[in-house]
Amino acid sequence: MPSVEEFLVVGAMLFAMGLVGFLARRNLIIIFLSTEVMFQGVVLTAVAFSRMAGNLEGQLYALFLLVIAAVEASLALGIVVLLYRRKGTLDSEVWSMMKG
Amino acid sequence: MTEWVPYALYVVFAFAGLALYLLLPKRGAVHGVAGGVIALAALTGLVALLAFGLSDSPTLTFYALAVVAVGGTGRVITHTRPVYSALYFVMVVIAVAAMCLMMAAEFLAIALILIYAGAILVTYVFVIMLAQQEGAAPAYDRFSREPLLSVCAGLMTMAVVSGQAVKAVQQRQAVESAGLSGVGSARLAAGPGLFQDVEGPPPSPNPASTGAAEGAYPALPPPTHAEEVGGLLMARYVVALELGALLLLVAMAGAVAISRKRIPAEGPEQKPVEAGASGRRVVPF
Repeated sequence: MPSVEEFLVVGAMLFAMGLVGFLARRNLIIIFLSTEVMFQGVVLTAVAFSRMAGNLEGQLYALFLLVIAAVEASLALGIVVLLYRRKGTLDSEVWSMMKG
Repeated sequence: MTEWVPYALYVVFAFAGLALYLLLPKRGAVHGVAGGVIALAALTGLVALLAFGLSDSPTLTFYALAVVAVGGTGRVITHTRPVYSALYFVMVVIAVAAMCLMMAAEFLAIALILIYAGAILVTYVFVIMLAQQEGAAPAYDRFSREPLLSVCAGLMTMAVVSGQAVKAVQQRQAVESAGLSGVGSARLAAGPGLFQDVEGPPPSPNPASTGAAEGAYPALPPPTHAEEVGGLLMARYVVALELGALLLLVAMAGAVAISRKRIPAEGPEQKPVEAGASGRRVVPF
């Protein structure tokens, strides 16, 4: 049976690689997809700690996180569609009016 | 034996960061082959480190799932076509769900597959279809913003989070095995996969004590995992459950409100806005 630390390391890698995708990519959809990848890392970490503690709290936390992720994905994709309709491109660099 | 593990982790993460930097789409050449080889080396190093450094009973299933999850995530963030990123993400979701199954979180695993791979990813694929550009991959897919700095940021996050998590867990287990802390030791000593919650279902009545003459009911079977999750949701987390339902309702209304807005197309060039101008006219809805 894999130990808790192994799950934590994999969860941290998923989270950090989602962060890299969020920072590096310019496509709006890929940016939000990287956010979902970060959610997966957090789910794995929560369930690992829940198993270490011996109760179900972490799994319920991950379940509510799933609700939040679904809500965030739907609203974010709605906004992405609106942004695409306004500019005709999915590039995030065209939205740089407030850049210093 | 466990002292060198975080530092070996940092070495593995350095290789992974180098592979990510080589594989990210950017100006100049994309070193696909070199990046792929270094990524394979990093994955092998990760599996070896997990098997020999952190685990007392290495499990092949877990390493296969970890390789699939981490490799799939690498492809999600480095692929130039968004549809392939979404499909690799389905692979990542299934790997994470399988890892949750390994930790006896069956309800969460099925919920992950149903909701993430079944609903959220389908929505993503639909939006990608709506916003697709014809022809070769457009410029914003082929070039990244600051690949070096973002890989460094990700590397720092990986190193800090996993290093501290590993050290904290090992410290806690060292303290508990020395018998100095009794908080979680009773639960841990009960064995893995034993979800004894404080407000679990009451123990089934013993037929011998209640008397067979009263027509005692037969003993209930122990609750299944889904029954335990449902019991907790309805008993202790009912407020959170109702708030989650309210959130879903509000999000549905919000999505309908967002999608009804009429947007005049402006084209890819930005119009210059002079200082003091009121900006573009926004059509209210």
